[in-house]
Amino acid sequence: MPIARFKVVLLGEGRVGKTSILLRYVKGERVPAYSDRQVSTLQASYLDKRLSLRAGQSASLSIWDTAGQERFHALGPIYYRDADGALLVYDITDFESFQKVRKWVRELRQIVGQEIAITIAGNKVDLESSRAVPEAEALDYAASVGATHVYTSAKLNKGLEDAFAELSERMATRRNETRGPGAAGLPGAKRSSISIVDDPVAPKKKDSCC
Amino acid sequence: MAETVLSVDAVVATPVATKRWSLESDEVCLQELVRRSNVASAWRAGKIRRGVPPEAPRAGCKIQCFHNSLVGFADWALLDVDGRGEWRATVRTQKTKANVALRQFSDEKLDLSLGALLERYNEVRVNSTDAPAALFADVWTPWTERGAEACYVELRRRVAATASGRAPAAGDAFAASDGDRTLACVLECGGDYAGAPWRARLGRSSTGEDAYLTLGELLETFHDVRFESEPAPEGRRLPILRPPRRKNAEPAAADDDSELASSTPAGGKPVARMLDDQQQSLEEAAILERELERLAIGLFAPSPQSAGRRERGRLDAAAADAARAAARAPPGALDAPDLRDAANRAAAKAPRGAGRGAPHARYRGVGRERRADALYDALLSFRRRAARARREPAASAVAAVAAAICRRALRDASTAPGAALRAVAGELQAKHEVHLADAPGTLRSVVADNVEFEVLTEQSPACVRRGNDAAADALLAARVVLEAVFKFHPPLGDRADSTVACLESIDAALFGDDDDSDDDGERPRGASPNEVAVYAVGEPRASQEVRYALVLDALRAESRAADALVAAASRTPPRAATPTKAGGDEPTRPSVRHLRSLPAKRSARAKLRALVGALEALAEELEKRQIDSVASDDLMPALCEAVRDARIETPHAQVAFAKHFCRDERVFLGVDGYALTSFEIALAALGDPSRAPPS
Repeated sequence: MPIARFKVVLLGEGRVGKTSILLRYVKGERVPAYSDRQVSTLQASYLDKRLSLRAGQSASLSIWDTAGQERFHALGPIYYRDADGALLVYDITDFESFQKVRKWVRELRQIVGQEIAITIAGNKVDLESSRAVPEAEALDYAASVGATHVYTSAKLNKGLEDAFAELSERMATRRNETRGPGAAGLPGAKRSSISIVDDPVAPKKKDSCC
Repeated sequence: MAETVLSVDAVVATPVATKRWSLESDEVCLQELVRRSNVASAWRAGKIRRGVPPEAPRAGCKIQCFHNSLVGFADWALLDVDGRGEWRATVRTQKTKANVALRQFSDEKLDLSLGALLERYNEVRVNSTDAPAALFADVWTPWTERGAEACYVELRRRVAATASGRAPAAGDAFAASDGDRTLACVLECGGDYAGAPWRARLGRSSTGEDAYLTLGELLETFHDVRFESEPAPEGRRLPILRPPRRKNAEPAAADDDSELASSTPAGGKPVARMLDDQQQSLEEAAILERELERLAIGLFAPSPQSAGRRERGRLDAAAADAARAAARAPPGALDAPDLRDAANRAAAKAPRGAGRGAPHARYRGVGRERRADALYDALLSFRRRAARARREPAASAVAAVAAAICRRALRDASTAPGAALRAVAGELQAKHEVHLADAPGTLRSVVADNVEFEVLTEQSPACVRRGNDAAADALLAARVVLEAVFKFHPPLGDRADSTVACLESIDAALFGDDDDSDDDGERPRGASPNEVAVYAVGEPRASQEVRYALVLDALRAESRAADALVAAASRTPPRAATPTKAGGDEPTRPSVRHLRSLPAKRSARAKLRALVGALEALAEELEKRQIDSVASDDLMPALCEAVRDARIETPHAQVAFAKHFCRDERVFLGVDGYALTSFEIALAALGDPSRAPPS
C-alpha cells in the first residue's frame, strides 16, 4: 500500500516548547534524558516520522519547525503553503502565547482556508500548578475554529503520540474526501507535475496484429 | 566561433533533413507505401508463412502505422480518396503507449495526405485484416453506399496495377481476392454505368452456382481485383483459383503448390528465413555501425566549439543521425560476434583531433591506441542498460537505467535534442498546420493550445503565458524531448520515477551536468578504466553555458528589485566573528561556500542539495557555539547571516530556477523543500530592512 505523505508545520511563539515536542515525539523514549544533548544538524528543525493509521494505511509526516521570532511571523505563509496540517503550540503557563495561537489560526484560515487540519496543543502540563490559560477557554476556542485540543508535556513525553496520530487521521480523512478513497496514498497527489498519464489498465488480450 | 544557441524557434525554422514526401505526387507516395509495406520484416515473414498475399493499397484499406517498428504501439489509418480523387488518410492515434494489446484509441482524427502520412510514420503496413473492427466506422462510407461512378473509378484504380491504363469493360475476367481466398469473376452489363449499373458474376465453390454482386459489393468484399489474362467466355463455369486458406495455418510444406512454395528458390532457404536473415543483416549493418560511429565521434572528435564550421556541421549531422539510430537499436545486437571488429573499425574512422582542437575533455585520458577498447566498453555498457530497461521496465532500478539511456541518447545537447525537436515539430506541423516559416513563438502558442500540454500549463502557467523567453523555451524544449524519448522508449514513461529521471537527464543535456552522483551509483563494479573515463562528467558545452545563462537572465528579470534589496543588505560589512581565510577576505564557512556554489549548480536538484548542505553546515556551526538541538529559532537568523555573507548575485533567480526545473515536486515536501523555504524566508527577511537581522 502506498505511503501517504503529509506536510505538518509546527507553529507557536518562541519558547513554548515546539522544538522539544518535535524531538521528544520523533525520538520518544530513546532519548536518555530530556535535558541531554539531543540531535545535531537539521533534526531539530525538520523531521520525518512514519506512523500507522487506523485504516491500516501508513503515513509519513514531514514536520517543519518554524522560527517563532516576531520578525519572521509575517513570512509564515511561505512556511505553510501546501501544508496538510498544523500543530499550534502554546504554553499553558503563558496566556500571551495562547493569544498568539488565535492569530495563527486566523491567518491559517485566511490563507489556507479549511483545507488544513489544525490541532492546538497546550504544552507544559507538567507545570499545571502555574497554569495561566483557563482550560474551558482553550477547549471552547478550539471547538469554535474546528480544531482539536490536546494537552502535551514534552518533558514527560505525554500526549505527543495522540496529538500527531489524531492530526494524521484528520489529514488522511481530508485527503480522501477531497480526492476520493485511496488518494491519500498517492505521493504528491496534491501537486501537479509533468507526468505521462496512461489510460486505466484494461484486461489484456492477445494482440493479433503482428 | 560562438556556437549557435538552440531554441525552439530556431529548431522550427530549421528544415528537416529528410525526404519531403508531402511534396511528391500521389503515385510516388503510393509506390513508397507499397515498398514500405513489403519491406523485409518479421511481420511480413509471418504473413508469407501463413500464405497471405501482400495487400495492395486501395481506398478503404487500413494502414498500421509505427513511429518505429520496435515500439509496441501502433496508430491506424484509413486510406480513402477525396472528391478530387486524391488520396487522404484518416489517422486514429492509440492512447495507450505502453501496450498495443489494449487498443484504446483517442477520439482525435487526423486527416493527412499520403505524403504527410509517410513523413509522420517510419513504418507503414497495409494491413486491413488485422485492423480493429469498427475503428473507422464513423468516417468510412462503404462502397455499397457510393455512387456507380465512384465505384467504377475505384475499380479502374484497382485493376490499374495489372493493366495500366486499360479500362475495365464488359466481359473482362478478374481475379478478386479478400486475403483468404481468390475467386474469379466476370464484369457484366457494361455500358453506361449511370443508367445500367455494372455487376460482377462471381464463382462460388460451396453451392456450385455463380453469384451476382453489384460493383460496390465487389469492391467492398474483395480488396484486390486484377485482370485475368484471358476474358472468360460467357456461360463458362468460373474456376476457383485458389482454395480458401485457414487463417493462422501452419507454414506450407515445400511441395505445396501455394504462392509460398512457388516463391521458394529450389534448394534454397524458405522465403521467410531469407527475410529474417536479411532483416538481421540490415540491423547489424545499418544500426550497429552507425551507433558505433556515433560513439566514436562523441568519444574522440574535437569538441564542436573548437572545430571548424564544416567539421562541426558534419559532426552535428552525424551525431543526430546516430542518436536516432541508437534509439532504434534492436535488442539482441549485444551478442553480435563482430562487435569488437566493428568497434575497431569505428574507432579508426573517428576524426583525428590534431590541428582541429583537443579531444573532448571527457576522454582526454584515453589514448588513441585504447580508443577501440573504450568504445567497446561504452557500447557494451549502453547495451546492457538498454537491455535491462527493456527486460525489466518496472524494476526498481529503472530510473537509473532511464537516466543512463537518456544521457547516451541526448549526450550532445546541441544536436540530439535538436533532432528530436525537429521530429516533434514536424508532427505538430502536420497536426496543426503550422508552417515552418511562421513567426517565432508559433510553436509555443500551438503547444499551449494542445491538450497534451495541459499539465505543463497547470504547473507553470507563467511559462506558458509569457512571451518569448529562455526559461519558457527551455521548459518546452525539455517537454518536447521527453515526448520524443518516450516514443523511442515507452517503458520509461511507465513509472513516475523513470519519468522524473528522464526529465532530469534532459535538463542535464540542456544545461550541462554538474552532478555525477547518479552515474556513480550506476557504474558497475570492476569497471575498466576506459569505462570510468566514459562515465566521467564532461565540461558544459558552449550551447549549454549560453542556454543556462539565458534562463537565469530571464528569471532574474522578474526579481531585479528584490535582488537589489538583498544586495544592499549584503553590502553591510560582515560580522567580526565571521571566520575568514588567513590573510584573505573570502569567508571560509562551509555554509557560505554551499550558498556561493548555487549559481554554478545547473540542475534544480543540485541547487536544492546545496541549500540542504548549507543548512546542515549552519547547524553544525551553531552546535560549535554550544547551541543544543538547533531549532528554527536559531537556524533562521544564522541563515540570514550566511546569505548576506555569501553575496549571491542572483538569489531569487536561483529559487525560481529550482522551482521551475524541479521535476519531482514531491521533494518540496521533504528536507529539500524545507531548505528552499528557509532560503526564501531568509531572502525575504534580508529584503525587508525592518526584519533584517542585526549586523
